[in-house]
Amino acid sequence: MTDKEKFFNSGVLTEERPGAVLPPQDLWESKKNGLVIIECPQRIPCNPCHTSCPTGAVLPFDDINDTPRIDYSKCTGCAMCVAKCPGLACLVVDLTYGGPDEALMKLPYEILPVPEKGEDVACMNRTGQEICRGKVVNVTEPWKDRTLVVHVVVPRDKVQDVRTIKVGRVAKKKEDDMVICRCEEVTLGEIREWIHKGYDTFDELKRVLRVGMGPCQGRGCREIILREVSKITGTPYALIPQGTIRPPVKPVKLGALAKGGDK
Amino acid sequence: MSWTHTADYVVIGGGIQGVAIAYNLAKMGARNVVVLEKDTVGNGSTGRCGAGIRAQWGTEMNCRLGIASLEIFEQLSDELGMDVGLNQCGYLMVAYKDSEFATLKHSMALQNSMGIKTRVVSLKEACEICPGLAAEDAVGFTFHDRDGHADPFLTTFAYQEAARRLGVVFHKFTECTGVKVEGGKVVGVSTTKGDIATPVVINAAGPYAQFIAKMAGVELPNYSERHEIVITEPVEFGVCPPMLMSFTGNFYIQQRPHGSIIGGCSPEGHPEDFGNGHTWAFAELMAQKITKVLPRAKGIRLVRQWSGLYEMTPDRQPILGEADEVKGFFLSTGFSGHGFMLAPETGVLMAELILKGETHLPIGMLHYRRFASGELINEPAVV
Repeated sequence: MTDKEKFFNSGVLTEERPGAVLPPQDLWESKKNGLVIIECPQRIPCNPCHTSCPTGAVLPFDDINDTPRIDYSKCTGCAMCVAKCPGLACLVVDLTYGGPDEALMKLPYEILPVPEKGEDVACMNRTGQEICRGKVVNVTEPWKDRTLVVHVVVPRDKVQDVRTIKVGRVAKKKEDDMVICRCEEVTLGEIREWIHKGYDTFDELKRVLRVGMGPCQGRGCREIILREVSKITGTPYALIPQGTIRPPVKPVKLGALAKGGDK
Repeated sequence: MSWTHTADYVVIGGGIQGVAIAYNLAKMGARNVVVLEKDTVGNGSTGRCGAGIRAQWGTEMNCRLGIASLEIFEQLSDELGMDVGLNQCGYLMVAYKDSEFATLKHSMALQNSMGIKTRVVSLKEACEICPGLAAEDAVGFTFHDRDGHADPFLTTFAYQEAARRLGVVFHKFTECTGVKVEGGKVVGVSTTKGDIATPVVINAAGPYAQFIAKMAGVELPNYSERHEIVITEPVEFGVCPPMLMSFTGNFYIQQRPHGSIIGGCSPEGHPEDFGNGHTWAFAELMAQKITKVLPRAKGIRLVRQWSGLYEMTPDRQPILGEADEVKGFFLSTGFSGHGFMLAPETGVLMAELILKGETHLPIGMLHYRRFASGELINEPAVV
């Protein structure tokens, strides 16, 4: 597989390409507060990095499908674009921070639990593997929209690879306590218990635990549950009855239905 | 699971009837009880029903079965060791015609004479029982506070789990393809997984019971009707506290303890059908009915609709008993849409009949002989 094919199949960046360029090394090493890196190699109609930039460092787009271009002389490392990019493609690296072997990274973070200042966290590369540990020194919310920017100190030689963090509390939480059906708040432990009792089709689990009966109608949990059935019973995934999907699929208000459809 | 080549009792059908009979057989000491289910337990009429439980019936027989079942339901979670989701919120019957109200009051007199404390309530009181009710066009109401609903899935599974603990074997995805009869007696069944030799077969196949009966050479007048139903997203409890039901209004509406509102009605002209299809037209019709009696429900979203089969008999009463033509072939069928609510009692009665040959309530009049002799016991109170 070529790098191009790997990227197409996995979405994981494997080579440098336009839009994912690094700042000039001398400026980068001297600029306090850091400089942005935008890893956005794909042409899509999207420009919030430009519109959110208060200093004009992310240059205007001639065509909205273009990948971003940066005037590094204007970048202040403020991380407003980090919290705005819907693809979590922006990050700031401050090489002036701390000792000679350290660097500060400002990474977008949209999941729970929220890391705390001073917390030791796992640092992950682009494929989600842990490559080193880091220390959280600040957590900000630039747009007050619950998208956080985590400031984490990492080994300087890892700034090319670290792209997100994982809070240890998640990994330590017992797997059985994980909520799988979020509408009905059913945990993996409960699902496993009933599969072991012989309720090894989606419909039986639905009837006994209500998984998939909430407003989302199983869109979130069905595959996870079927995979769990497959793991426990040894039945290939494709041979497990997938369960019935019922209309109207998307919830519809009674008042709207009562007025009639196309009339 | 290993195959069972011989059994003392084979129950055909893993719905509420089948599991209740199997459990009661085992509880009364029967061994080697096998239940066959062509899909998964609770996939047929039971799992698709409106979940209501009531004693407000129009015939003495159904009142007896109804109140006896209610009494069993009241302690069933303890007996089976699993919550069955009972909610005794009461049935509020809504009459829109004078003739309907007269029938309800006539039935109420019968119910009262049997200790069922149904009473007439005013519109004001009806609105206290069900805040938000819009029924100014109704002519009268009756209410019985011990009626209500339970969870058909959990009830069926509770019976299944309790039966398993007593040694009952369940075979799912196992369809009965033949009933073997020799010299006027049952000797076994054939299935898609293999044969089982057995002297007793109990036909609890719900809407397919007439086909199972035919395999044994017994003709039943049963036919199956498709009824549709809808359910909403869960909302705070209190939108529809009681089970609302009307015969001329043609609806039943209830709110499950976890908050979803269930609503159903009889289809136009009662189509005979074996399909489980559902229609957009029904979703619209039912939404109109729900928002008419409960206007504040109009912002609640419908999340699912489905249908299930009523297993009808000509007089809308069940068929219980042993076949005249075939010894050892028992029938517990034709519940006409009320199998779930009557099953706790009929499960006991059938187990008594099979093991002892007699029952604590006389059920002779529920034998299918009544159709030949013309002694029908017409039940007026069916939606």
